[in-house]
Amino acid sequence: MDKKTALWIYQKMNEIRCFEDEVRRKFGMGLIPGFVHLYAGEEAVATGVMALLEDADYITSTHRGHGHALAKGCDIKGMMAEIMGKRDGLGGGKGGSMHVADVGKGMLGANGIVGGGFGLAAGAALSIKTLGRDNVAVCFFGDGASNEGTFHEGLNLASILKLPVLFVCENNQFGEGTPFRYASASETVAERAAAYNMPGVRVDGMDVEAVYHATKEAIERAKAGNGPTLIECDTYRQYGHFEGDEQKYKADDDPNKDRDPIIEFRGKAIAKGWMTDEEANEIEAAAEKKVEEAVAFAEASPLPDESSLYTDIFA
Amino acid sequence: MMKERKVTFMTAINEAMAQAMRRDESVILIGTDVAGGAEVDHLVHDDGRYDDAFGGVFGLSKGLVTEFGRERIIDTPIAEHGYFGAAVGAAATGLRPIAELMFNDFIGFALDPILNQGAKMRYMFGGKAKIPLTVRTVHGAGAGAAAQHSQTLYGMFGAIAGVKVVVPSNPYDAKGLMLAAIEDDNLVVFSEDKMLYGLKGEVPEEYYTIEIGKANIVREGTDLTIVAIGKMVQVAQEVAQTLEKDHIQVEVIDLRTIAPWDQETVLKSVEKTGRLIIIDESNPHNNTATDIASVVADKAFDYLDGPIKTVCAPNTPVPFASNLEKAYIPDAKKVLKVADELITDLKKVLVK
Amino acid sequence: MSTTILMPKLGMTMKEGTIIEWYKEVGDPVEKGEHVLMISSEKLNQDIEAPISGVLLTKNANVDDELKVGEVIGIIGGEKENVSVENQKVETPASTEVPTSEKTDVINDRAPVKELKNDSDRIFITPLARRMAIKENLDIHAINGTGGYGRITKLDIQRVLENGLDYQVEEPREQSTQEETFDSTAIGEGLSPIRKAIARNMRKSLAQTAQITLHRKVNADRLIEFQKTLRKEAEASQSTIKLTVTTLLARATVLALQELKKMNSIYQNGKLQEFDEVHLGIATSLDDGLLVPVIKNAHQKTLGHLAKDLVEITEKARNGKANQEILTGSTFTITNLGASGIEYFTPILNPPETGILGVGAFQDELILTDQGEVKSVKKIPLSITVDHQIIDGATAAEFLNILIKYIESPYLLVL
Repeated sequence: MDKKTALWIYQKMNEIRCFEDEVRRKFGMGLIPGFVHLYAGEEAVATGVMALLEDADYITSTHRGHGHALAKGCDIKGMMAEIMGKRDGLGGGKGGSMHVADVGKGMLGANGIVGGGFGLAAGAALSIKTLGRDNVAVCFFGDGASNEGTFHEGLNLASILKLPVLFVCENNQFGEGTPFRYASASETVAERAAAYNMPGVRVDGMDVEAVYHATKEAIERAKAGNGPTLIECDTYRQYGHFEGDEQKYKADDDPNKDRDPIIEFRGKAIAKGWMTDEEANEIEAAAEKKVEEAVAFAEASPLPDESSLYTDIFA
Repeated sequence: MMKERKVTFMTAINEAMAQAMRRDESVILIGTDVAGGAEVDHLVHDDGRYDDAFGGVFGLSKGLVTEFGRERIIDTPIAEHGYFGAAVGAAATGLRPIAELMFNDFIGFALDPILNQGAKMRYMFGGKAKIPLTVRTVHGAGAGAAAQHSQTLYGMFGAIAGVKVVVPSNPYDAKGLMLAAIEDDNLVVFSEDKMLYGLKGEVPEEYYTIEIGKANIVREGTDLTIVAIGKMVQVAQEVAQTLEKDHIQVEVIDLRTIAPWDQETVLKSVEKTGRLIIIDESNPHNNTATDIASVVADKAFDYLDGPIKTVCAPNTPVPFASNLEKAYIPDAKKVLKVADELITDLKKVLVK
Repeated sequence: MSTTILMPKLGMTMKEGTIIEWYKEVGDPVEKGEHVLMISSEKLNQDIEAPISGVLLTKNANVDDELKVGEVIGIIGGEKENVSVENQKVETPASTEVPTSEKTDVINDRAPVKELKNDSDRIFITPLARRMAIKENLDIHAINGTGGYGRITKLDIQRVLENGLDYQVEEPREQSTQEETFDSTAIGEGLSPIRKAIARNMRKSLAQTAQITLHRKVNADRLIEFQKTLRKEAEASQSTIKLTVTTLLARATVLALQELKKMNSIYQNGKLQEFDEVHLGIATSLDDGLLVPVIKNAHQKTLGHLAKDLVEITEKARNGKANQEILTGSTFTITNLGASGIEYFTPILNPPETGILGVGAFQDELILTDQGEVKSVKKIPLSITVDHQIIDGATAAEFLNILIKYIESPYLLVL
């Protein structure tokens, strides 16, 4: 990792955190319809992976997709407006929090269907391979999704076709309200990779560098034509499955409970000389400001015109 | 003895399941986070009883795991095809499961066990299998849950031969139909509108069932029939009240069962009034409303005094923005607009 | 509560009407029964009454606008009422809701169905109403439809059972196949409604028949004398009956038609019908057009009766008070241009009749009597047009002979 990357990572981590905290506030005030699923605490995974991707690389995301979207370069104003259901949102207000997307930036959408992304990511990788592009696809999924049939089908297919795709599992220990250790027959997700003849790597998902390095290797493998990799990131979500979740299933002895990936990276980055204290402060302040502006933009944006109920069904 | 107490729609269903499970040991509940917090130490009491972390994503099944334990209230991994398949298999071999599909939109991951297994096994095996499975699921727009969590798909289930589908509109019916669905020896889909969960109504404490396949005339009238499903029954009542000011007497029928729907009651009503409106929150094509219209146009043709009008959601996914979502859901104003042709001449006076 | 004023169906074939004049403005109070506006259809004008007392809330059409039967012309209601109407066009002072996204059907969103056009004289009726009509033996041609798209509904049947048929139908005038093959849509463009109707009628007549006209003069001296005698007697007995030459000619025509029934026939739908009864059309000119009111059952009427009817129906026609009943059903027509000094002319058949008699002005002529004297007599020129498909010149000539017999021996008219 170089300084430029580290600064980018720190910036994105802070933007994500500020954004999610703001969404949480707005949701609590009743300004956001429906459900929101907050990414706070998992920033290391999104940024660690996206630091190595460009616009032409594709990602599929989950219902907890704000972090992925921001890290992939989706416009923060458009995102806030979309989550509030306004006309100037990324989806014209028609998708909402669980469906934020920007295909032009390689973001194939947050997804309300758990396990819905495996096939889509494999498909994106198929395009890349068939059209001879020097890119990769990344499928983000949670520990809950690892028990869906589509996990098996997606990984198997990607492996036999040697598709350039990374399967990145954000194991935050809970599939909604059910612990992973109950729901999974295997102790880890990573060990299942062997069943699909691909490498399975397990990293500390609170450590950006760990995520970064594992990703780098996987990308090189994919671009060399050697097929997919499964990366399991042990992480933790600070808030509930959705806002309003009492989180009764969380225990005091969760190993990652008191860890904050942003604070950890801040310390590391400074220690390694990638960032100074001032730079860190500046980045933090800038992130807050950016989110404030995004909120102002979203609040000023009007509701969509009723005629848009009918647009964009068919091309 | 009927006691008069008011509970919510959600509580009524919880109560039904609990009462059924107390009577019959083979009744189990299976689904994602129907309890929640499995194998979480601090949720287990010293005496071995469990607390739920969720009790269902809306809290509908709260408390059940505490009474019945984790052998009968089973949290599953997020693997719908897997556990629905298991539910069908269990139903065929001695259990009487209630399988919950958290949102009917997730049917994509669970369709085969219902479509090709549960619905057809009895038929294919020459009557030698019995599938007493109840599928509980959730439909309906209005919560801002966007396109993948707000669809109304009971019509789709109803189109499958071998499947019964019920859609209650109020707490009393919810409990009675739930108990009837569990007692029924066939695959019954019990579809709940999430927007009705908080609706309060009088529900007797005792065990009772409501006949599956029988509609309910909730308001009698002579000039116009409105058949409505689920939360659209409230819309129908609103329309009826509005038209009463013009001395038009509307008969409102709460369909209750979608498949098989009560032809006798609907036809008899159309024979009386000659005019029919059907309100159904599904998308407008190939749904319950069009099915009813087709049967009525055939069997009550000579009694029709005007075209049959259906009022459904538009032919689009459910939009997220609150104003668009509101435009999507049928309401009284839309019904009056679409059915204007049926209503206007009941009001108007022609000048010679 | 508000009530709509709809374009009424004033006759079986009426499809649309034109607004001629508004008597009231939006916001004016109206009494039940008061005239609110005048409309005109092909052949007649009609005042429209207010169905209830109240205030005229909206005008949904302007003068010269053409509306289909059943469309809303206006709304009467309480002063403060909010009203909204399907075919909204004009001033709506009460705040009506702006329909959101008119182009997009927010409900149902069915693929748009091509609108069925009620472009024929086909009657729209609901299955229930049809069944009731059959059971009660009601002719649905005589019933006004108030349902959507002008459908006859159960309410209409019930109304008719209580109040009687909406209008009378004498002979079942079925949709003529001749009419169907005659495309009248482009004819009469740019003309007033009544001229349009006349234009279409005339063109149709000429297009679908083979008309020949025979001319003959008849000595009317004895007729005139007869008329004078009758008049004197009538005045002497204080009778108010005005016996005109036209009345006498009408009587003569009736008798001649009964003698030669072929001339008292109609041809339509590939069917030729001869009649015993005579319904005599009397061509009547108006300021801007021509109407043909009918004396029904003229063969059963005395001279006095005929005289009275003649005055009555022609007056009604001139005042726009002739309804569909009066304007249809003739078996033969008389047209008189004598007042304008015309001698002979070529009258056009009034379809589906097969004959029409044209009467010209008195001509003073000098004749040579048997005694070799020069005498001045009054002659009436007669022009008879017949449809040569049905009636040959010989028959027409025969008819003229019979007619002349009665004119020259007028006392026969009393028999």
